[in-house]
Amino acid sequence: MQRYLFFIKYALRGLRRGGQRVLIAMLAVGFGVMSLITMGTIAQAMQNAMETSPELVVGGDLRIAKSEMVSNEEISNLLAPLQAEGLITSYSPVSEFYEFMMRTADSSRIRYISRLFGVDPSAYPIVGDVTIKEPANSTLADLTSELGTTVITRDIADEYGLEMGDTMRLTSHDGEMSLAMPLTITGIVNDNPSHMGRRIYYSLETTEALFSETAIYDYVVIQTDQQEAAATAISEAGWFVQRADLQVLEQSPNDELFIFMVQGAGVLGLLVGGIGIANTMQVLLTQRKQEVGILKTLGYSQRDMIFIFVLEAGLLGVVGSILGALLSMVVANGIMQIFSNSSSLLMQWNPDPLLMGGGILIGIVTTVIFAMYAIVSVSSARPTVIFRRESKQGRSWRGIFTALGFYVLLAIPFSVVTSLFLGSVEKGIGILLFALAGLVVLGVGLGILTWVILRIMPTFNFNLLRMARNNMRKRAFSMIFAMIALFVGVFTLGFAMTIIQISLGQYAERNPEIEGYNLQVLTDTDTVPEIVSALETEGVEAVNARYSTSAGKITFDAVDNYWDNGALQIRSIPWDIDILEGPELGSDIGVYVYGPDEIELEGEMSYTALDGTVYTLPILGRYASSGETVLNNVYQPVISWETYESLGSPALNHVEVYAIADNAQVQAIASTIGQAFPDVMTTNSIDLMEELNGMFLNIFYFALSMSGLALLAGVMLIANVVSLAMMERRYEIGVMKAVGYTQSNVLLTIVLEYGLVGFVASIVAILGIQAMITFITLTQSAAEGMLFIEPITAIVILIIGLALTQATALTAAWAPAKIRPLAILNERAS
Amino acid sequence: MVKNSILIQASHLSRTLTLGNEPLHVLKDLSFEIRRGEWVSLTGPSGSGKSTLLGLLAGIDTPTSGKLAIDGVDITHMSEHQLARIRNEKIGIVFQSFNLIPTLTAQENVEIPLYIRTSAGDAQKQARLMLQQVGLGDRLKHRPHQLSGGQQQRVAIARALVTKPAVLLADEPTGNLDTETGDQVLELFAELRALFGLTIVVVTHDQQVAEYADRTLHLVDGEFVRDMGESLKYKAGA
Repeated sequence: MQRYLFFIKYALRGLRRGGQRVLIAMLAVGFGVMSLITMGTIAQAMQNAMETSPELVVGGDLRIAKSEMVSNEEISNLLAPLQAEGLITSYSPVSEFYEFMMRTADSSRIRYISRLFGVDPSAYPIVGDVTIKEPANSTLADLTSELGTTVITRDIADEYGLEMGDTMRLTSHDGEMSLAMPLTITGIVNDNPSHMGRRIYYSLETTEALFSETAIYDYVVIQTDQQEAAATAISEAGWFVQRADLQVLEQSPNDELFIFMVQGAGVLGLLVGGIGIANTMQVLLTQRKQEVGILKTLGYSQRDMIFIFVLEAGLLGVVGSILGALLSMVVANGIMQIFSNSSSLLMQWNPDPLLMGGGILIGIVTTVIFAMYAIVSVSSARPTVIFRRESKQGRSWRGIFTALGFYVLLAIPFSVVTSLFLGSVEKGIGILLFALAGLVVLGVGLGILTWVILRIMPTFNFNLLRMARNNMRKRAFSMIFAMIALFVGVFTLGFAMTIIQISLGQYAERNPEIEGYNLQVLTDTDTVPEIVSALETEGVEAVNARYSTSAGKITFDAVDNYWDNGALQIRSIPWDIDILEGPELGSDIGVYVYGPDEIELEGEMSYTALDGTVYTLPILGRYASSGETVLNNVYQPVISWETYESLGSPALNHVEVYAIADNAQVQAIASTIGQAFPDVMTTNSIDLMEELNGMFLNIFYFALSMSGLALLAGVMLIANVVSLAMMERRYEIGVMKAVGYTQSNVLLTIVLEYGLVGFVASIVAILGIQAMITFITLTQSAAEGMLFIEPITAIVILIIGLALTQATALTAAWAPAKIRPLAILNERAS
Repeated sequence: MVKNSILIQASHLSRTLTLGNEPLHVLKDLSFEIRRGEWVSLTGPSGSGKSTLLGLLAGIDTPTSGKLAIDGVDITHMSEHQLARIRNEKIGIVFQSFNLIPTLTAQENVEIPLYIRTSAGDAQKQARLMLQQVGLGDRLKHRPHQLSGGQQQRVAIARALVTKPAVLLADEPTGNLDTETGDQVLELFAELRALFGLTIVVVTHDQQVAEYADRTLHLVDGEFVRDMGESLKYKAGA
């Protein structure tokens, strides 16, 4: 016992003495564990969010609908008898609408809501739960029982700063819903059966009031034990029936791949951390060779030494892993926030004790695994070799194969670790093989490039350069390892920088100098004069408005399946369109069609109004429309006011008032209008830009946070590689000084050598980054056009790679280059 | 333990190193005995093989051929693990450059060899007693850098002797010390020898140091050129 207590004390002292290098090793462990837990947390949250079942997809055992929307009365007439017969257990009508606009009481700014759900809260949902975040311990039924009340998902509340008691108004572009009715927020939804965000829920009563009609239900979800019998009965009544028991669900291979990639990124992070550990431990333990010699001379066996160093690595792993686990909570939180903001999923994440504990354990095991080679190689040194400072000349193939064999052996426990984490042996081994293949390809590539450069590099009769080149030729093998480490560091850093560059480029592209219409006010026909007057009071000129009829049915003689949004645009002058063909607008009764639709001009258009009256209009001409920031393209048929009156002046939709305001004032003017008119909505170019740029800003923040970590990992790897090389070359430096080299001469040689190392590694890293970007561009259909690293970014990456290499090389070489040659040579001789 | 019995017995001991492709015969067919309680000096010019011989005696190196027995145990073909056990139980070593662990206190340095013994007993107590024996009872908590050269060498001697070894091997023990301190260290060797009946083997090229020994073995090019018998200052087992 006394022995083990001493070993622990000894290990702790060793760690304390290791100073900044121990700190680096801890950071390496921390980085790996942080990557692992963070990515594990994200993967877990994504898996939870993507978890589904046939019942969840359908919304119950059955989902029934008709080709048109139905009323609650019609639903009751069908289903109440079936419920009474016991054929179905319960049902819930659903009025589900897509892409609605919302404004809050404070701001008239248009916010887009993904889906509105008008439901019977006492029965909805049939499967799964709508859980309420605020107020605690309440239900959907409690919170939406009163007319005009609503609950919203937490992402909307977070993004727009909405709280319980706030009010909001909803509408759609086609004006199906009245802007006049405010809804009061009574609760915040934490999660719903589909785990999807940007949703709003209210009762059936509120639904009917909002739409001012009763036939507004899209479908009904039903719970039943007799799916087949119930489905048959309902089908016979003329309804479409979707059955959960006939659904075949397969997890999308893309989802699975994405989760694997997230987890894989965690494992690769652990691998990078592991390489950092291996490297740092090599440096740390090489410095303690003499100590090993002393202890072995006193009778300590290799087993004792391994035990002490494993203990030391284990303690280092404990501290580093705990640090990584703590960091992961911060980083995972940040990434989840960014992720949630750019995704429609309601991501749930809580620190998982199992994942945290597992991560810490994996961190400790990984530390020991990656430190093992250094531990065994230093512990196996014979005391006589250590005291005489006998060093092997050159690198024997046997030594190389022994080292490779050792790493293969160490890969076995690490594969076990990765397999456990990834939940599959194939994936666990696969990711290691992937990393190994990458290293081999990289090593060969770097080796070839270095060989070519060393062969063709002129030395300009500069002796120190010739010496640097010769040194590199002799040390090519170890230099390649240094270059691989440098490559990893520069690549991760450079890749993050490139993402930032691309994000900034996209951001800049989306922020052009705004010209033309920059303010839109959505209102009803009666309020238009007041809005125009208010805008003029604010000093705004060039006010125009888009009028449109409410939706009817539009058909063309020569066109089948013309798009079904049947609104007609009405203009007195063509202020936002160009008439391409046909007479002047207003000169004749008839319709102008959207140019690209290529509808023949000789034909006719039929318009069926809401009251069922059918009107026929000749096609007079074509128009073109060009959108601006807030002025969307128009593509519906355009008519004059005279033509509108000839149609019997059907009901009008919302009016879109457009204005050109001073860019600096436009937000303030929009706010003033919004405050003065509680039932209008506004959009201005500045807000719209912010909205569009949100996603790119998220990527930018993500890249920024990742680049900080990459920088740390890169610097750590570079510092270790150069320090280790310097330790091996202390004697060589002593000899150089003994024959007359000054400190500056020695440092210049080091600068030249490592300049070349840094140059090759950085160039290959830049090529690697470009390859990665090209790959992403080719495989992601969302990416627009081919992306390239800007020359300035490439130069900055190269400079950073060179500067980091030189700074760490000079720092590591400073002391050996300064020391008196006798001291170094005496070390060897003693 | 029988006084004057043979403690170290070497027969036809050779050690050959390979430099490049050329064999270098560092020690050539050496046969000798060292008796229990004897103080032997190993002298010779640089490169004569005296440190290599000390390494073989210490069990930190193995002979190319021949046989070496310490305290009746043949260590020639022992595994590294077995040799470690021999080093811990039967051999104490003192170096020219002290070789103390800088992070540990004087007492902890002396405790080190005791922690790997199966019967360590109270390591702290034994180490404290040993340091008192070498006159450092008031320097227990000092780190090596807080001690003078002589004091560091005393700690190293205490560390070498705390396991009560059969033989104390010393490689130029006064090489890093001034004459006065060096003499004090050698006097301490003599005191401890008298106290514990120690067998001492000292490698030196300093004639004054060699004169403390009962016998001097002089090596040139890996061969003994003379065995000088008893020295002047101290007699074996005195």
